Amino acid sequence: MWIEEYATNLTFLIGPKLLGSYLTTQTRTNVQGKVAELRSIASDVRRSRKPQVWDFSIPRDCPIQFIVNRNRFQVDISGTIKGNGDSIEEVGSLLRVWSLNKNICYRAGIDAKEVATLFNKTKRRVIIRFHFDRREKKVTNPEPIYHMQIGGVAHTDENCWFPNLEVPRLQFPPMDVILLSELVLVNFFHEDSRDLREKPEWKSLVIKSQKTFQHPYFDSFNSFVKSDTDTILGKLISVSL
Amino acid sequence: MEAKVAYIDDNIQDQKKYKMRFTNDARSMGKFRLDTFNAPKSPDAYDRIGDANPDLLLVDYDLDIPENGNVIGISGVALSTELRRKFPDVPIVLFTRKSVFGLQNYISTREKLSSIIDEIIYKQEMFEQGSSKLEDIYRLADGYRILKNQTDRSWRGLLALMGATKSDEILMEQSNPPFPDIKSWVPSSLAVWVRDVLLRFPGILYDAIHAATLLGISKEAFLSEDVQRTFASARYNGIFEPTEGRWWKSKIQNHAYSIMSKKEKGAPLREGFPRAWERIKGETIDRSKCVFSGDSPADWVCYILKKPVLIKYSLPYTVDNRPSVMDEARISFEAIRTTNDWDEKQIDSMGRELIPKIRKMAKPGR
Repeated sequence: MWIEEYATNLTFLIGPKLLGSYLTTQTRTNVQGKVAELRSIASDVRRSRKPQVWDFSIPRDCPIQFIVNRNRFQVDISGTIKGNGDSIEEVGSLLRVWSLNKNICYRAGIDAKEVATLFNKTKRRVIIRFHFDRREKKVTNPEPIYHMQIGGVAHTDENCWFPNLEVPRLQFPPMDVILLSELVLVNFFHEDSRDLREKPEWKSLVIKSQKTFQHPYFDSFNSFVKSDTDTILGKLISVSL
Repeated sequence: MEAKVAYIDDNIQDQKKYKMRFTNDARSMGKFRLDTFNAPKSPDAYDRIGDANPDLLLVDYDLDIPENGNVIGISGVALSTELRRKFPDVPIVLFTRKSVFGLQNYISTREKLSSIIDEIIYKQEMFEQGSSKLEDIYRLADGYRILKNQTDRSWRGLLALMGATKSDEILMEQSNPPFPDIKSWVPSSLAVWVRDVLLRFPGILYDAIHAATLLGISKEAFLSEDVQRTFASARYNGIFEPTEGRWWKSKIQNHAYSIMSKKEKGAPLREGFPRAWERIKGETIDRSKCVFSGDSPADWVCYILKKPVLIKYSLPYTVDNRPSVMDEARISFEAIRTTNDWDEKQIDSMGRELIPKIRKMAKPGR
């Protein structure tokens, strides 16, 4: 059953042999709790005679939090998956980049003093945030079916460096927290994580998420590339839900 | 310095045999003095062993042979438990016939009894040609003697005794020492930790194959006179130094980086060090080659084959309870494909899923 397998994959992801040493200690406890929730969803879905709608999240306020990297950036990721029975309906995730460097967080002469006051309290600030989302059913704006948005709605506790931005939404393949973890390692722990990223068990874990979340997307994308009737973006924004 | 050995065996013929061998073998002459004892059956008997002030207790494993003929050796273990209680500062070696356990039993018994005994040695192997067992037990006795005589029984005292650096200290603290918060240690529990954790698992101290792989060179190249001279001060020469040698990982790294140029330091050590060596010496150095693909430099060591492997051609192999600061045990694809000396149960479910693919995959680069 896919849900159970995904719960196992998340357990491996945060375990000491894979991401463990890159994560803060609190993360492991948080995600273990979430994995237990996912197993409980799996058990409900298994028992139910009719396909059952479910959603699972690793929330923004209890994220997978990486340790501070050499450039004093700290990244966290969160995400949601919605499903019906044993099939996936939707996946979305959020990546936030926090800085602990005062020179980056507060630009004297440019930023207001309130920013410095808040930074002195929290000692960190969100420099940039990326949403990897699926277009919502109710939205009428021209959004690619799966897209990445820089900014989005920032929260007060983030003291976000970036203003709230609605557009642009860039076409992007679906991303779950496992795929995002690889992106974080490549970008924020590139040298340190080289050995980990070479490990077959790591690659196998990421490939499983690619197969689940990205293969169907790229199959469609490929057919859009071959089509002469519309542009790729034109196709991606007009895919019906 | 002569090590006084108390040999406890109820078999009088064996007592005489090994007394003679310890006395006459060139390797043990002048190093050991052997006193023989029957298995103690009264408090006085223990006192007699104590009066001999032994540096090492050599205990026959199968003191009792039950009537049905199945050797269970329980008496040797029970006796060792009592001996450890009475003589906590003296190492205990279980001395046994090879037929008593096979390899798996040897390993599991050794692990199970690690708090009671320090070593298991087969009687047949002790005096074999080329065997290092006599040297091993001499070093064991010597290590205990040093610990026993150590006046500063603090964490700091231990670090000084072992020659650890500041960076090693942090890792050692994370290696589950048996005395996390207390200010003093007892020799037997300290000895178990040093021998069964620090010297056994690669991570803080490396044997030759791990040290060589860290540097990106072959084991033979690492053990060459020239390389050994360069890394002489990285060699571990503290208590219980194994005969085949150990090297501090941190000191190897420091020495290697000290001869590397800025550009060479930009690459991983396993790539930068051989380049630096060749630049300085003007001659090529044999690289570590992956046992599966033949590519250089390999970056890990296969737990089963004890040969270098590229991490991408290996799987995690959870074969022991090593602390997480130690290098992970991994099994090479080569071992999976060519040997039966591994246990599938020691590979996690993620790795087990890959085994059929590994068996079928074409060997890269060959």
